[in-house]
Amino acid sequence: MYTKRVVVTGMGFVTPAGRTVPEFLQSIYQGKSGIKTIRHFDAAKFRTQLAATVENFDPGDLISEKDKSRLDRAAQMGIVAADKALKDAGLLTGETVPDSDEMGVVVGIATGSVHAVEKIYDESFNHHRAYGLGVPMAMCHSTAAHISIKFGLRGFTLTVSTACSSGATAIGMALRAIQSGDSKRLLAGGVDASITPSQLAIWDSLRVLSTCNSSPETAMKPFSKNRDGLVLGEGAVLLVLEELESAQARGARIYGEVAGYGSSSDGSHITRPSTHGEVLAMLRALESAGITPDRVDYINAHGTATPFNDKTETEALKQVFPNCRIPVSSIKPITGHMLGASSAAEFAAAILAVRDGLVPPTMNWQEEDPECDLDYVVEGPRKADLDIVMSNSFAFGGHNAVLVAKRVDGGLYGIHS
Amino acid sequence: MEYTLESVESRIKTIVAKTLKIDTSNFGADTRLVEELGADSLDALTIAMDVDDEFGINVDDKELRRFNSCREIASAVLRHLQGRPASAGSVPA
Repeated sequence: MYTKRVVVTGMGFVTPAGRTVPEFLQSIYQGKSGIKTIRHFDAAKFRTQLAATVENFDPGDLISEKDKSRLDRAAQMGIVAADKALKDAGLLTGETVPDSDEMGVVVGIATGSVHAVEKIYDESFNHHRAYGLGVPMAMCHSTAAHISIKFGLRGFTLTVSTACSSGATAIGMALRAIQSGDSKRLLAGGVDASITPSQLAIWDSLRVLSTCNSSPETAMKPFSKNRDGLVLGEGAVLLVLEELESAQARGARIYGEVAGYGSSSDGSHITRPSTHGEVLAMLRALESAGITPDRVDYINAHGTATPFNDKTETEALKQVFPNCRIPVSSIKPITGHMLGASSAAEFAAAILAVRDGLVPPTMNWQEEDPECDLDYVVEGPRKADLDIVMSNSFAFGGHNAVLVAKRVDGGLYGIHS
Repeated sequence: MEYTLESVESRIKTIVAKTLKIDTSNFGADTRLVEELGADSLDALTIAMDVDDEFGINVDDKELRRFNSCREIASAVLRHLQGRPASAGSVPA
């Protein structure tokens, strides 16, 4: 059993639902969706013409003009999110991070450097020349690499790819690394930037995307009977995780505790989720946090608004929490499904919910579904005394990752069990 | 088409400026690309590819990387355009 406690002391957002903590909070509590009609390429031939993009993304002076042409969009978003998280944690004065030899980064990324890959194919097939910067730009760990290069982080640096649970897996890996004593402080989260013609084409043909093109902001309807799929999003969400004693010693503001992490594999099908695998991940997360199911106050669901996910997740929740009366909500109608970044954004939402005692709503719910019969907080944000919040992420490949957030009382310095 | 050292230099300066994201007025034909402009190996690779495209030649990029100013690159390009290897005898076949 691990004895070290790990807390979140910084958050960095580059998302369609906001680029600061207050903006993100405003979006998820006031239901301001980042889902819009795609304008940056012609999507008319696709069944779905919607996405949640980070509009007018510009890293400004943070990335040199030369590097803007060398770094994939995912890496650029990752650097900006890292910069915000480090500053938020009070760890960036000028360009220097304290103890940077000991600080690393764990990035969860589902699709890799998609814009770079499209550039490589364009150069190869349309211009018949090799794209010289292709390898360093497209390698899937380039986002983590560029974050470590930008901020001189020379600790444990890792890229994990578990599809839509990548960000949660990254946070889980970071938690373990700190608990085991390998690291004191890490940046961890998820990044994905893959709203491109080829990605939209393959997701579109998989028949999991919503086709509610005439109403972008209400397209995703998690747990509603008339739900018809997800909308792709992009973004980067990175958190600063550190050992509690280290955070206290430097007087850091503490958002909340990363109290537990559990993962599992469905071991069954590449795209169809399994109740059994999801149950295993939730139980392991609770065990890891040393708590029983009855202590969970709110569940931030995976809630993709696909017919199958929402039904399976509901079944799994009812197995872990018999007679479940716990509020369950999905923020994906606001952020879109940012793939690897979504699970990190959702854990951030869980940490902020325990801090603020406020449950974010599930937007766009319209019709009762007998197979989705839990309390999905459809009426709007709900005040609640939250101590423990669970955040679910269930990905293609059957890669399940569940995180547990715990309230930290005492704000600036203190923590009380 | 007749090429002059000056005209080739000018086109190479444009390529270098585009790669390094600087203005052509900020450096000269003799400016050292690595020491003075901070170019790295990836920049050299990009410049080499763009030079090939610009002049329709195929300069060994290892050879190009040995040149350290627009003038040196331009001289090599001119030799290529005139049908002679850039540095005959020193480049392995």
